[in-house]
Amino acid sequence: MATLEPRFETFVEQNLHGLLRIAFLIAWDENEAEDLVQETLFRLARNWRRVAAMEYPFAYARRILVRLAMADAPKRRRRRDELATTDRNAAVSLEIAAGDSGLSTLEIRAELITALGQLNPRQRAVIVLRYFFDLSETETAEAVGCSLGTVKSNASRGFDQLRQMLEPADAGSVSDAGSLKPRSAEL
Amino acid sequence: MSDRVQQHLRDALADRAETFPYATATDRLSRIDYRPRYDRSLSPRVLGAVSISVAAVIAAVVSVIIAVGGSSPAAYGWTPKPKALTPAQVHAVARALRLKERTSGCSGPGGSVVLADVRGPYTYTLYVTSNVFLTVCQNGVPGGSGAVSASHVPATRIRKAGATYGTINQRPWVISPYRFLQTGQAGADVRSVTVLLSTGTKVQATLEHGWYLVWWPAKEGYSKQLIITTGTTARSNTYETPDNGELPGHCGAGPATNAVVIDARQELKTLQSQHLTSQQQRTVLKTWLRKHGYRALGRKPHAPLIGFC
Repeated sequence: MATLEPRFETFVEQNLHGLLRIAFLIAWDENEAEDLVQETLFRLARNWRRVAAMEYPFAYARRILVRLAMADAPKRRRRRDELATTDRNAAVSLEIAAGDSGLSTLEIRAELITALGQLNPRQRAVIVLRYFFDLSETETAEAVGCSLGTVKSNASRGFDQLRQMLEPADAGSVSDAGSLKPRSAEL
Repeated sequence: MSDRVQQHLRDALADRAETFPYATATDRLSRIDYRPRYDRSLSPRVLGAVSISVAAVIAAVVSVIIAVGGSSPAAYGWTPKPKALTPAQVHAVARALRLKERTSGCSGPGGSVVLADVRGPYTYTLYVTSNVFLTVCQNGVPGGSGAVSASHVPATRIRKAGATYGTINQRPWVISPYRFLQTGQAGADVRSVTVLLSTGTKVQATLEHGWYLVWWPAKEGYSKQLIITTGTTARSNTYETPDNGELPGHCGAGPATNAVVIDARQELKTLQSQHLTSQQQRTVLKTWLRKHGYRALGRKPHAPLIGFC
């Protein structure tokens, strides 16, 4: 076991940033992301001999991380609803980045971030893994621990929800999400 | 989904991911040894024995608490209901505070004490002067802070037409333990001000001379609602309040009786970290204020905001 420990440390060194990135985008909360990564590493370490023999240890770590995030999601969501600041901070910081130049792209991103924060964790996990980390539907299903159909339906519902949140109330249905507009263009 | 939306989504997520403090998180996580030193799983027999022992200890402790009488006291002697003081006692508190300030070298703000909030060993005193319209002092806490002068809390007034309500959750400028404090003006018809915390605890504010003040240890929970009882019919006006002291919530509507104090230091920090020009900061702040239903009367983008609805 002792000979394997350096490899575990190397793994952590090389992949901690990536794991934190995934955890943060799925959990949508800095502290929760750290906790999730911490627990993931702990579980990896406990089975490191087996994990080290795998072809893609990172994929295994990602799967543990995502499933942990799914398992604790309701509790986390309740807590975040009580705190409810992180998303606003993110949105504010993006609005700030836009300054007074009226950059619509930044506004859309700010609104998207707010809207993404309001998705349910499974939908967000699917969208993040699928469209940000470029995983295939099969890989996403494997990571989230659900069927291919569930991945598709979660992605579809997630996008529908994003559209609804981003469209102006009186805009009616928008067929192409390319025409998404932020609710408020106050900058 | 169009490529354009996918690109927006990628950009948004990338922006979001960039906000994570990787350096500090990596540093924090790297300091902890995650390698298991022992197998945490226990045999059922050992687990059963441990469970029984723990249960016995818990039962014993609960029995002792019940025997002693009453529930455990609030944190650090804090109580959700302030001690009622007579005007003479308020003056006595003010005198003692002045003496303490003089002897400790802490310069008081001057002006008159309008309110003294006493909860257990803690006394918060509210001063109002012509310039420093709000100052909070803490007395009776070992190593506690002194008065906060006007230079620490420069004020910009903000008003919202037709609105009434006010609240603040701010990180107080005192030492640990970490606390939340709300204060503001209350109209003549306000009979009581109560804050409902996320844990369900109701914290009653001290209300004197048209001002209210309430504080609680952070471990008691976050502010969820401000309940203001007004009029002879004891009508309760309930307002959603900011959550954690970093951003104010939305102004609610109601009778024009109360004040709002907003701590925008978090926004200012964010602004300053963006290296924007002062003009850009002002614009962004105005936008932010408008979004939250306020109208800024002053132009002090570098100052924490204190104002009235």
